[in-house]
Amino acid sequence: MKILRSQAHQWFRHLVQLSVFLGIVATACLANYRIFLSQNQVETIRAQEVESSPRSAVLAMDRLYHGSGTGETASDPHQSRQETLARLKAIRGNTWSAELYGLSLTDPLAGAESIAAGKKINRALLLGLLIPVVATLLLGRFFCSWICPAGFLFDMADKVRALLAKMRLPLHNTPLWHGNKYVLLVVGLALAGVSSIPLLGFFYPPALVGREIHTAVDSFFGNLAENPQRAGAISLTAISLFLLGIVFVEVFLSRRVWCRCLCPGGALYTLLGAARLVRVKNDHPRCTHCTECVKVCPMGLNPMSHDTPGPECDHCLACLPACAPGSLSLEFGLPRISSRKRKESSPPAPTSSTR
Amino acid sequence: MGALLPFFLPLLERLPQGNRFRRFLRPPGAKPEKEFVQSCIGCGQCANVCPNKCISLFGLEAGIENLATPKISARAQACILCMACTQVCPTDALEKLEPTPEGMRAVDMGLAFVAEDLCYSFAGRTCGVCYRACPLPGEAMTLGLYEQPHVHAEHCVGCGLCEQACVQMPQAIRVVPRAELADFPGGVTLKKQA
Repeated sequence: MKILRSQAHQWFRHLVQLSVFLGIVATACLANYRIFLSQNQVETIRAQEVESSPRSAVLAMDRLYHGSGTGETASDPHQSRQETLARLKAIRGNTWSAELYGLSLTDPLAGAESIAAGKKINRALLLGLLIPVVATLLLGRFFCSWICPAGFLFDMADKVRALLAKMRLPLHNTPLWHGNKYVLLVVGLALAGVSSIPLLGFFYPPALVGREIHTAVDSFFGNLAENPQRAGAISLTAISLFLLGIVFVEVFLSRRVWCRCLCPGGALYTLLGAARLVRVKNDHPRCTHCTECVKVCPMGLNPMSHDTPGPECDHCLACLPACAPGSLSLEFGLPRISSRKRKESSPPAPTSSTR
Repeated sequence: MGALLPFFLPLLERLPQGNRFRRFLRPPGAKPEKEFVQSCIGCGQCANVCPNKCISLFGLEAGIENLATPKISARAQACILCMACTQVCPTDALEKLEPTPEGMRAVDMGLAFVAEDLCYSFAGRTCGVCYRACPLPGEAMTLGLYEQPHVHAEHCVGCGLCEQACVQMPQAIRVVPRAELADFPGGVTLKKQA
């Protein structure tokens, strides 16, 4: 429990987020290497004399998978190539839908809108949904703060915002109703059901980040095969503008507004994880009502108002090191039914402007 | 905000719609078009595993209903029927098919049409390039006089290799998704034998 009081676990959280982000980049690179390998292009790339960044990237992957760049080391070159291809195929996709060594993982929002649009469920989708849904039921909205690649971008934007605030720049913090995300989720699912098009994925940042990374990496390697003059260049799409827009709004206009108020995926995770087994808990006698945890909470919640900050908490645990009296702690176990009574009997918390 | 739903619906109908005579194919094993669009979540795994780089994802060019769904432009890069994409679909929008001759014959991406006024062989010059590209020669396509191609609708899988190979510009042989054949002038309805 001592580590929860230090800032170390926040760095660990950012490390996890970063590795997920880089993992998506890596899967995109491996997919391209697999294409080069299955098209016998790796041999051509090895023989090329022009030095370019995609070429060195391919050669680096080649060394990783084939030893010292000499090519097939096994006695049967065809067998070796097939084995490498099978090995490369084992990891693919992004956080929207991925497969890790036979383990299919699909975002619950993707499943929800696919079911809403098609009005039926199939076995493959259920298998992919199983692990994320069960994990969310047990652990709550942990995806948002620990895995979501867009959440990582917005966390970094929040750090920039904190830096700008230190420089005394006039940053607005326009409040928005937190319930907007549920409205977006319900309207999005209803529209998907009526129009039979899964619409929510078109403006769900984690899906967009995954798609954009794959576009960028594909164009990076595509330039090597087709357009050597543009070696090292990557192409981006309108998705980048959309994400940049969110980052701009979050830095200058309203802190973490997407995750707090607008993300339909966050809404679905909140609803799924309402009866979670892990919670941040306030030990009332020790709480001094200093509001430090309220100021630090990226989700704009109030960890000290009653027993728990509520189902919208995404377990980023940023409030734990901020709590000077040490009244906040993690609680494990089933949620207590009596929490509402306690809320009424506990002293009303002072509202803060940072909320 | 939920009460605003009726106002959104006519707007949704006015969003850019795809071309009725679209010039693209779905990957092998794809469900019927409407069902496919409903269940595809646009994860891009099929495009990722395609060793032939023939599958790409739509932007907004074919309407909002096709956004981020996979397509194959046969003239640019045709499907080699390796069935890698059908093995990875997480929502079964692409039904699983095996990379065997039986699996290959179960594919139904479209049907090839020969424009006889454009075709070299029909003009009396022996060509036969499309026949040599066909993965089911003698079944889906047979040759006539001067190697004139004759497509057999009940066996053609619509992979598009003939369209990619055609030496004419524009191509004399085109693959059209079967669901759209009914929209053709004259209402062609040609079924594929299972």
